[in-house]
Amino acid sequence: VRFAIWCAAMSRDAILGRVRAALDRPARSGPDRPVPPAPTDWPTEPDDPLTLFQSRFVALGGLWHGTADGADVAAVVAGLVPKPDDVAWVTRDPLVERLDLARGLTERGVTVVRSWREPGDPDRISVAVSGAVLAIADSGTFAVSADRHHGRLPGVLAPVHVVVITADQIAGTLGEALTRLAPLLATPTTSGVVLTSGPSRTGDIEGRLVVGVHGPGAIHCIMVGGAA
Amino acid sequence: MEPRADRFHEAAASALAQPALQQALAQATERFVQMRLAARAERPDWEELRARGRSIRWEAIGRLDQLLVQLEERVRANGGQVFWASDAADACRYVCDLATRHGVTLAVKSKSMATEEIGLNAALQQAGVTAVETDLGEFIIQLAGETPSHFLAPAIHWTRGQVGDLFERALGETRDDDPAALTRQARRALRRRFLDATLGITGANFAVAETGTVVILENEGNARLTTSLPRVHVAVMGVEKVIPRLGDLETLLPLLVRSATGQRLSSYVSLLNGPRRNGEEDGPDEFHLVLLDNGRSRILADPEARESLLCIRCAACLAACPVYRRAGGHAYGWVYQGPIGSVLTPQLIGAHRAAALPFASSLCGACRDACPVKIDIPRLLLHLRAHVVERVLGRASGTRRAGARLAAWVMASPVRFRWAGRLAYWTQRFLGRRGLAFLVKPVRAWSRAREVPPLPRRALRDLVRRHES
Repeated sequence: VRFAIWCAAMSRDAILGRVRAALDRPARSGPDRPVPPAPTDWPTEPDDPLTLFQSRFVALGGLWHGTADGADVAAVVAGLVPKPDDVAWVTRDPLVERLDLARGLTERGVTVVRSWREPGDPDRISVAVSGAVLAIADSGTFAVSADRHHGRLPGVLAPVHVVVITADQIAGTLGEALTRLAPLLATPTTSGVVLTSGPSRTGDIEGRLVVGVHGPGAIHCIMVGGAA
Repeated sequence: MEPRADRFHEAAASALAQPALQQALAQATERFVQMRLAARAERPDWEELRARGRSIRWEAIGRLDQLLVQLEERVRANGGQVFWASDAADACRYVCDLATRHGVTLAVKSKSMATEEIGLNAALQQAGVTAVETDLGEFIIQLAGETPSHFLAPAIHWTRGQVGDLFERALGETRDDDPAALTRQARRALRRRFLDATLGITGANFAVAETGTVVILENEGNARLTTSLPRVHVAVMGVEKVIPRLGDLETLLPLLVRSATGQRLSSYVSLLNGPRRNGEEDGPDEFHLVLLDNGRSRILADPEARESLLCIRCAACLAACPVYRRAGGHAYGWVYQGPIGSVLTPQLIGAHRAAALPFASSLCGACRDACPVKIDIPRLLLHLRAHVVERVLGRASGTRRAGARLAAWVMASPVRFRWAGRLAYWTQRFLGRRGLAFLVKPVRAWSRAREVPPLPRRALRDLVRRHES
């Protein structure tokens, strides 16, 4: 083990040494200019973030459910669970909790689990219900943080993914979203942020678009009234 | 992956003789070009974006030592481990040791060019670990025992019928040739592997030095499963993939994604800060980052060639290249195909093992125009050609040297040049298009794949003179 550590340290110094020696020589077509600041006037779309988000999300094949509130949200989600013995995984996202979706779904006869490990075989989960830390209007994207409330898997494990968000969670552009995500990525209790835009897709066989490859074939968005 | 980059001409000729392959290539490359152009048109600030992306990449390469040290610090602070691999053997040994230490027998992999470059799958197999490729295209290629022929669509050269046959044979599925049904078959076959695997292996599209974040782009969801379910996640990335700031992604992600697949953003973008934290339900217990040199510091040391390291692997130059569109990816004989492959392969495996690649281009510049970070690929190819001639081919053959001397003598005098033109015209008149070319071996080889243009009876300057008088 000590030898392995020694070897690792050697190759670190060797690589850094080579890189530093190489950089002593200026490049032939070197950096042409300093990084210009990002333009702030883009996108030029006249739409407000909510309208833009809706159109981009739907263009990706996302299913839009308009605005609902309180118990109505549970009714909409329950309507997306096709069979009575299907299992819905409801995450512990603050908005999901505020809406009390777990109870609302249970009352409507849906089998609810709060952890994807609960059913033993995760393939029994047919719907994952989650929130998002924010959405990006320009690309129809949801961002979910990898921490104890959310996780990496809701957007990819089940064949159907349902996301509840509020209008104030929508950022216009990727740049805006990154500014808002930066503090989150600096939080020690967060192991990452995962972005999901539309259903899982592939074009690997003759370029034909197929959805639902490893992740969901259907992704639903329910707008919730009020603020997150 | 064992390079076979020394037989471009033979491989390209064989590709040209396969009509099915030609059709698949023509359709796929045209589709890639159209998607890229549409996505580019949607951003009126595209040129500005390119300029900014290029500056960011130059900054990253220019501060590579600092950024790598910062990245290492941040990844460690996030609870991950960092290993510096000088070459392919180093990197493979580290991942294999890691697998052995954790008693891994099954690993899932998401598409990664760096692991392809170092031949990780073969190394793992020797160590008793089955590594399963989970990207659909890569899965097809692995089942067939082939090598990828495109950065993004490794099975670009496969037809649905061939995939149907393969899945029937290898997976025991009922024969189908509908892409949607075939995709479902692959999903079923791979689902169990995701849940059973204890090691997840990925590459990285970028790594942010400022935050220690590894950025992985994909559309199928396989990379996200690979980085969420197995107990250990190892990411292998070339050292040049580091970028300074999280905010740089605002520029680099649209450049990469729009150039690659024409999307606004890939379906799944994972920004990963190491292993799972307290109370998290998914994510690996351990995260390892392998920083791979494997010849990159050598490229960095060549001031003329350093620009090659700006590449973000979008594959736009592949579909844009008239040579790739005909020859296909396999002709390039290694992991990196197309124009950027012709630049990277000779530098990474040695020019003597890929001497033909810098010449596999008409220098038309379509690659440079398509490149989202404006890499001057034709200039790099010329630089490598000079290198190949000086260092690999060495002293040219007697005929070649005599021919060059003769050409120099003829071109040095206007009178001799004019008479040579007339002589060539009359030779063509009597002996046909190729004239006396069949007599000289290098010229014969050259004219085998090229049309000799018909020479005019009167040279331009004769016409000008007549016009003036």
